[in-house]
Amino acid sequence: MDRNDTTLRPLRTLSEEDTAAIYAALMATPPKPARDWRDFAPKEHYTELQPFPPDDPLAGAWETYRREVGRLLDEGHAGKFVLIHGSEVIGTWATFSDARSEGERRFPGEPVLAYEVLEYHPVLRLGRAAAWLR
Amino acid sequence: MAQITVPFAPGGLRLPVLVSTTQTEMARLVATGLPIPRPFWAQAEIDTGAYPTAIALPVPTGFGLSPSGQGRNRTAAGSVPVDLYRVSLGLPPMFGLATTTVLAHDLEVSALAHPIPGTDLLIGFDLILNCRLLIDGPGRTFTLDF
Repeated sequence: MDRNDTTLRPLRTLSEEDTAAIYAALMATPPKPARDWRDFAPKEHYTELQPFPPDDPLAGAWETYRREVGRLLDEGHAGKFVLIHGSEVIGTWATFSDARSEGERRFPGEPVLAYEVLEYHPVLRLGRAAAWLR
Repeated sequence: MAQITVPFAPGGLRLPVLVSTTQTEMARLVATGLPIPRPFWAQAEIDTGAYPTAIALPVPTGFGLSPSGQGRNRTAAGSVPVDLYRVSLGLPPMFGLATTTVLAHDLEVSALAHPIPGTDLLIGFDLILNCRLLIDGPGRTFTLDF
């Protein structure tokens, strides 16, 4: 890295030397506690969830989630991750990666929704990036 | 506490950042003898209206990462699904820093499927809450203590 180069340059990968420097920096310092954005994000009750755009590949699965989330909560699945393929609820798993892996195994290359079953859903904000949504 | 003072750039409060896999993932790769994906040098912009911190999709996919979760952004057209990934962020040795300095060892970020011209990463409110940010408008600089 050239420390005199403060120009704004495009995204690029770094050299092996720089990789080693970053690795050393990460390993030399104790982990800083990360602030969880969910703690301050606004939340929506599950009855207020809005549909995805109709052309979104997950629109159908999201409709299924919106329809089924109340039942899943009643059945004690809060905090688990539900896997949905189209209009079918496949099941719930303890972690997102478990649910997603199962979805990739059963439906390779197809859109599947792996989503945490919650009563109140945090909504992220894209800030300036929202202007570039298409 | 480290500190950097950065001159304003056209378009906002912008600075270069280094993006790599999380500390935990790096340690795992080294322990198993696998190569560490090369970090990215990215152009960041401070955006307190974004949370979590957002990153151009080619960065996490360039590391070969799978999403760590899925979130939703709300727009005028309804909800939009957004994939979440875990990465680490650092600052290069410039703007007064003597060495590469870690900003976050393990941070959940949202993926920007649609690129913002000239910006690879939005430093969101989640990261700013761990820092002190001073904007010197007349002096055309901003200072970040972290």
